[in-house]
Amino acid sequence: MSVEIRMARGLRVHVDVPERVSVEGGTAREAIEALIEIHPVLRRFVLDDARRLRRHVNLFINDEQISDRDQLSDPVSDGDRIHILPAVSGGTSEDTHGLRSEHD
Amino acid sequence: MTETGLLVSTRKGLLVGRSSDGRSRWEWSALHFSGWVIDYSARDSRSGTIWCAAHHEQWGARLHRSDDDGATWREAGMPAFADGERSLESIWTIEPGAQEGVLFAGVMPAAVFRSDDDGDSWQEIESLSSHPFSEYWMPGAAGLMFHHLNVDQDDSDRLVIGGSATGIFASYDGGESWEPRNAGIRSDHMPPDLQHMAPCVHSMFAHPKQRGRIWQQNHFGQYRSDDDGETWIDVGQGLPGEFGFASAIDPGDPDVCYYIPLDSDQSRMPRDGALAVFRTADAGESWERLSSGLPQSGFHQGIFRQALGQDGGDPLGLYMGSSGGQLYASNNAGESWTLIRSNLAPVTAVRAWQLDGQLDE
Repeated sequence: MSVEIRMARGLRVHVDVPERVSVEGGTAREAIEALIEIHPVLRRFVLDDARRLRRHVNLFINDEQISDRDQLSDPVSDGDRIHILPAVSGGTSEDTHGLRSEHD
Repeated sequence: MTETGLLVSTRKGLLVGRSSDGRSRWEWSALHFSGWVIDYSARDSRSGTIWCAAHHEQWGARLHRSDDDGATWREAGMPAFADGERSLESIWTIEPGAQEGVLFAGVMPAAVFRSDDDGDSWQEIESLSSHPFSEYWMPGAAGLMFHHLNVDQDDSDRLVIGGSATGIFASYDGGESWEPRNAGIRSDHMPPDLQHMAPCVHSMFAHPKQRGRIWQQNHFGQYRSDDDGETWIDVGQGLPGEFGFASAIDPGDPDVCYYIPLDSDQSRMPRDGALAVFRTADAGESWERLSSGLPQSGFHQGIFRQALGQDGGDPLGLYMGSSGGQLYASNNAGESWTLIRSNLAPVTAVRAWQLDGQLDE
């Protein structure tokens, strides 16, 4: 399956990657790994050490948020678009503020 | 004249300051890593490399290095957990070892990593993470992490480390085995029979000139050890509060230590809004309140655990950043202070050096 991955501006301000990259894959995992093979710098931006989707990063397949944030097993179809988006929770969530505000 | 350098880590980026006129005037860099939380930055006195640990709430943690005094930066190797469960959230300290290329990183969630190739690759010290006491570790308000690593500068195999709330561990074999070093420390967050399992260390510095001497600001008091933490002596008598985060030593005198007591763990501010640094010059027998130049009313801010730095100079230069973005400096061992920056983001860490000095400890 050929899918197009679109990277949000909030990501591209931190890393020099194109807005759109076409890759092959049958699941979100396969597509993201193919993207990372092309742009290795993106691994740490999108996945954590256990290769899960980062807590404050969202993946949408077209207009549907993926359901499997750990394995990224959601299937993709030819022509689908995957959006990598920063969650609005990052930096403003209650737990983040509470945890980090003291830096203690 | 000696050049003094200053690394000011904030929740919105890193500033590098320099003074070449005896610490009176400061020149500042632009804000590095704008928008990223800088958890810690320090200069390695062996190589001159500046390390900068940052994280972004959305995009994860990074370790940067500069080999030209902050002019340019590149990403270093990144510590990473390999168990498929834990994921590194932030690096809280980078400490050089005795041998060339050896570095240690204390991270959240609580673990310590070692590098033998000057930060290109890292390995978790798993004997620490799997220590039987680890089941008693519990996060403080900022999470669960190791944030103070004291590495003997003559022998990288000798480490005394502390975290929140992990307690203190010592290793004399480079981290292959660990001994808890918590005897005598109060832990009001634990039941009586578990007092010695996981005290909440806030800051802790071993003295480079007197092996065995360690100063500690704990959640529940201020302590000194003269035997690498085998026993701890409460030195808090004469201080206005047992709670606090930051502390600093004078590398030239093992009997000198600085604390910034806060009113309590419920307010986390200086008592009566009056900011002061307390200094002992007799190993904790007595304390002197140092407040000249510091606000003595209406200071409703805190000083985070790594936000008091010293430059190793003579007289000692001290630098203190606040949670409200104020940065104060003293070029006379704390006798008087000057506000040198304001309107910063909350200051998470301050570390300083003089060109012929040592990495701030």
